Amino acid sequence: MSTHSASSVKQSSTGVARHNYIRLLSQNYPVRFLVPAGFILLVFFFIPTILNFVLAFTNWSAYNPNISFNGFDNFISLFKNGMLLRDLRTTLIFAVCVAFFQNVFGLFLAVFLEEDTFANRLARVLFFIPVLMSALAVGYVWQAILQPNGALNQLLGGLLGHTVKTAWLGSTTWTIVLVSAIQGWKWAGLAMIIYLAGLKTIDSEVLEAAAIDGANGFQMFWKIKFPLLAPAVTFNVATSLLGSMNGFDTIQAMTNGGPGGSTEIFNLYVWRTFGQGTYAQSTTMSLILFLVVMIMAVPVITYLRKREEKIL
Amino acid sequence: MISGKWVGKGRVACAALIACATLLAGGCSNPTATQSNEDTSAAGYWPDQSTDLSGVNLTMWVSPNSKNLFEDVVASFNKKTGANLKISVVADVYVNNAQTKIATGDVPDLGVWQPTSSMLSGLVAQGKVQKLDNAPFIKNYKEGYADAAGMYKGSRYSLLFTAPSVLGVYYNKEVFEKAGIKEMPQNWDELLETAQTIKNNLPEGTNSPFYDMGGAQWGTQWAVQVQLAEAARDGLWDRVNSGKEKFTDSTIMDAITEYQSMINDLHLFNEDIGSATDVTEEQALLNGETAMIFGNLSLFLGVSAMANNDKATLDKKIGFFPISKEGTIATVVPEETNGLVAFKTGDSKREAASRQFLTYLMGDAYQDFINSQNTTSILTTAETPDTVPQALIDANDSIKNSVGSMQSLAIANPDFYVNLASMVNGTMTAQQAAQTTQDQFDEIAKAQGAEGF
Repeated sequence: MSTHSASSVKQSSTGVARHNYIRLLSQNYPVRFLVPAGFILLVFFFIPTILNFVLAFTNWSAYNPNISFNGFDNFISLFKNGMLLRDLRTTLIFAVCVAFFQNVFGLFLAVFLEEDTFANRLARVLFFIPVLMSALAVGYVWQAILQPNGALNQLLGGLLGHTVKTAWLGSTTWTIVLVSAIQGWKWAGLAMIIYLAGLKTIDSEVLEAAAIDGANGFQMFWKIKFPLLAPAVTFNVATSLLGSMNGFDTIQAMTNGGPGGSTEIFNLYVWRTFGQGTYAQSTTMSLILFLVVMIMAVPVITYLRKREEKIL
Repeated sequence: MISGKWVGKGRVACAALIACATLLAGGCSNPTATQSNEDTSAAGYWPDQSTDLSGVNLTMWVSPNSKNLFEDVVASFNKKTGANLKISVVADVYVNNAQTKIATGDVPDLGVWQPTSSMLSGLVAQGKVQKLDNAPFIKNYKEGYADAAGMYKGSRYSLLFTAPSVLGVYYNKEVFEKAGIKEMPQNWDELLETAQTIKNNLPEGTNSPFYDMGGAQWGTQWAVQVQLAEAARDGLWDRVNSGKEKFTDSTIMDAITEYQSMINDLHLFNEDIGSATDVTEEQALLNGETAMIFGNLSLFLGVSAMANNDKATLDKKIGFFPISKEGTIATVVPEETNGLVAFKTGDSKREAASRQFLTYLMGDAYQDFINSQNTTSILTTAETPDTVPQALIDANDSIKNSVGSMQSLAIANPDFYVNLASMVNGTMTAQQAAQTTQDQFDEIAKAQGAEGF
């Protein structure tokens, strides 16, 4: 009994402490502090997301003064149309290629610019500039460079001694790879910074020990540095892969989805449909894209996390 | 306290639910739609051109193609009336971007707009544009122009201020001469013969009889559309509009496969057709790298700009002839550079000021406008300047024997050119290009509530 009452006294005193703590918290951080951020989140994130789900099941369009529900009509007509799957496939190819190029370029730059010399610092700044540039500007500049009478062909012509007229953005097979590489180039600076941060956190004693054990540069990188970069790899691969699923601007400026629709990623299709005034259709498409990204994100991030746990 | 916390959470959840319910209920009416009726014949609906507009701020949207069109006339309008009308360029693809802005509630006072029923239907359905019936300048249109464009379901919603674009063949006179072509083709078969003759006698510097732009895409539809002129006269687009005929049926399908065969079997087009653009097409015609293009007004204006708008050079080099399957019927496709709409902004003063600008443009300012644009006058009150290139005069003359294009006569304007560009690039078959276009047509027609879809 006494034990019981002692414990209940203890419990109630803990309860009082907790009570005071919560009161203190709510005094210092009243809930109303959350209102501005909550409002912005509500208006610009929650409501559009909810509406995205709702409007996909309606007949909202530029041609109709009223909006009414039409069940799965939009989904049925979308799946009947071959364009949906074609553009989803193009988007996946684009995302995978961008993730590859961005990470390869970024890792390469990080490794070569790791040492803190003046020249390296300058080079890091230079390679980071494309990240800050407008994606549309990047697209237009590269489009001009890669035109049949553009700078690249002129340069090649000068080197080879004859006129080069290659239409770099004219291949229905390879243009998607080329635009992915350019998107990868644009964002490589960001990947570089993250990989650099990862490299800087590696304990120098580990490297020293490996050097004493006689590891060469190649082994040092692949056996020690690269595995220890796992968290950076997770972040970079996940953001570049999933981020590119939402790509639009660079491709819009470079190819407008051409040649022959071979670079028409999903968002270009969504935009084209919206421009036709069939708003509910394009909303349905964004919903489908949202779901595809979600379906991809879970296994990709789970796999990369597991890989980290295994290594670290 | 803990239960209090849950009450708090409950309140938030309740509020969120109420917010969603309100949104859903509100979602029953299109938030961007406004409805009203206006009496265009009422006194004062069309204000006098010189009515004072001090303190009235107006915005006009123009496309990159038309960004210099109204600079002078806007400046003189502002000076004359005291209004503050500003021009704002909306990036390409203009119509998509403008539609997107309008859908989000961003509406200007005036805007260039393709004056075709397919492009006006959305704006009218949402009650976004003012009616322009009974405008004082309509009686001044030269024959054929008053009804050539800008009408939707019997009412005028867009002002046609220059001759609508005409589809036909723009050709390089020097190449024709070198290849020994003296007679202009009088039907499709003769056009193919002409092309074959040029191909067999390719002058130095000329690479192909025809040129097209699979890269920029939009020009790919002209070669197909000109073949449909007779069918269009026989009611092709009415049948398509009611779902009785499809893009995949023989009329349109044959025109598509003919175009494909001209590229792949007869090799009459430029080798880089897949990636070529409007700019390279204009250059090729002017420089004689190609003999002919299936062109519209935009393309000719591009060529003209490259020749510094010099009449002598253009008359020496560039000619125009209309063509169709059986004869020489021209196909008319009004462009956004031909039409202006006045939007409903809810501010009656600004709406009247917009109408006043239209009256001024087609009134006191028209002669100066035509002179500065160096184009043909479509009003009896203004003279065509003698510096207008002959090819443009010929193209506009051919309107007398013309028929509307898909854009003018169909209720929807699907991305036909995108699919044709895919066909040109070999990523779609002719059948797929037609089917994809039809699918999109069905969607838009269904959204409009058209019968048969």
